[in-house]
Amino acid sequence: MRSIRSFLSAAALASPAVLASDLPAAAEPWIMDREKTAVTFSLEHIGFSLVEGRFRDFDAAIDFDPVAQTASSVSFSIAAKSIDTDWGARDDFIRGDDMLDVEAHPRITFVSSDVRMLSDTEATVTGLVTIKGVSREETFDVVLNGMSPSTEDPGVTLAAFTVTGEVDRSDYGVSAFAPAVATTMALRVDIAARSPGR
Amino acid sequence: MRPDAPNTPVRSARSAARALALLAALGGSLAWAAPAAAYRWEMDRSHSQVKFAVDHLGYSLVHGWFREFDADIDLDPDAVERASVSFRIRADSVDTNWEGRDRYLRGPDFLDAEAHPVISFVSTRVRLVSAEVADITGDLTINGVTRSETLRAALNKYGPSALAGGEVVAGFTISGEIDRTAYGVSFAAPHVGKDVEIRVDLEISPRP
Repeated sequence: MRSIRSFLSAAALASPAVLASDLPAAAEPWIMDREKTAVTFSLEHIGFSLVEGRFRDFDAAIDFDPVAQTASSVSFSIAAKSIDTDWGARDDFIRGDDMLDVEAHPRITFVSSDVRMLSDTEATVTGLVTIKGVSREETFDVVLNGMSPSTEDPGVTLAAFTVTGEVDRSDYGVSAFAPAVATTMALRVDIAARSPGR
Repeated sequence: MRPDAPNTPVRSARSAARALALLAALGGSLAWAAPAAAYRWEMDRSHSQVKFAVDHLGYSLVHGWFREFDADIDLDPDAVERASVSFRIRADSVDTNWEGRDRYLRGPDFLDAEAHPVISFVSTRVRLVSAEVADITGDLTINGVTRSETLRAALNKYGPSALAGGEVVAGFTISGEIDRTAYGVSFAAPHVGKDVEIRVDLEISPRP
C-alpha cells in the first residue's frame, strides 16, 4: 500500500505539498466538478479520420481514499441520448434501435469493483459497464494527474484523473456497419473532483 | 448498394466523382492523372472536426470543438507543394460542453467573437516532410491578430471509400500547438494554459 507521501515525492508535480495528515482518513465521497469532467470517445472512420464524440450529460459518484487508494470506487451514469459526435444525423442514428436504443436503454453505466495500483499515480480500475442492457466487466487505466489544495479553501483538496481504455461496441450489441466501421472504441474520461470540506 | 446511412458524406452530384473514383482505383496511388477539376476538393463535414485542448491549472485538460467551419482546398496530388488551404471557423461556435465557460470564451476576455467572428487560416507554403506528411505554413488570424503558424498535416488514407459508393476520399489529420497569448487571448494564463493543442481531422473528396 503506497502512501500519499511517496506519491508526492515521486511525482514531478508543480503543486504545493499536501500532507497525509491533512487528508481524510478513509474513502469519502468526493464531489465531481462537472465543469471540468468530460466523457469522450473516438472511433476510426475506416482509416480516413478519427471521429471524436462525447456524452454531454452524466453523473458520477466518486469515493476516493488518497491514502489507501485501492479502497476508492467510482461509478458513472451517462444519459445515452446525450451522445454528440458533431453531426446531428449521425447522433440521431446512434440513438435509434440499431445502435444504442436510448428509449429502451436510457442510461450507460459503469460501477467499479476493483482498483489496482501500478505506481503512486497510476492504477487500473475494473468494473461493470452496462450498455444497451448488456453488462460486461471491463478494465481501464487511471492516471492521477495532480492533487493540490483548493486556492479558494485550503481545507478542500482538488484532484484530477484521466481514465482511458477501449470497449468493443459489438460486445454490447451496438454493431451497425461492423466490420467496415471499427468496433473498437477508445474511451477517455477526464475527471476533476474535490474532497468534502471540513 | 451503399447503405443510406446518416453519416453519408454530404456532397452534390456524385456521378462525376464516381468516374474519378474508377480512375483512382485503376491508377492506385497518389500519382494518378486527374482532370483539372480534381484540384478543388470539398470537405465532408460529417467526418471533419476542429478540436482543441488546453491545460487547466497544470493538470486538468479542457477539450473543445469549433462546430462551424469550412475549408477551401486546392490540391494537385501530383504537386502537393503547390497546394493551398484555407479554413474559416466561426469563433462563436466554440463548444467545451459547459455553457458558462463557452459564453466566457466567446466574450471580450477571450475570443471576442462579436468583434472578431471568424478565425481564419490561409496557407502560404506547403512543404513535404515525407510522402504522407507535410508542414503547412500560413496566416492564422484570431481575435483580430494575424501571425504565421506552421501546422503538420498527415495523410491518413487516400482512395475509394467503401462506405461512400467508391467515391475517392483523402483523410488528413492536421495538428499543431499555438500560444494563445500571442493573439491577445491572454486571460488567466498561465493558470489556464497558454498553449492550445489543435487537431483538425478532415475528409475531402474531389469536387465533381
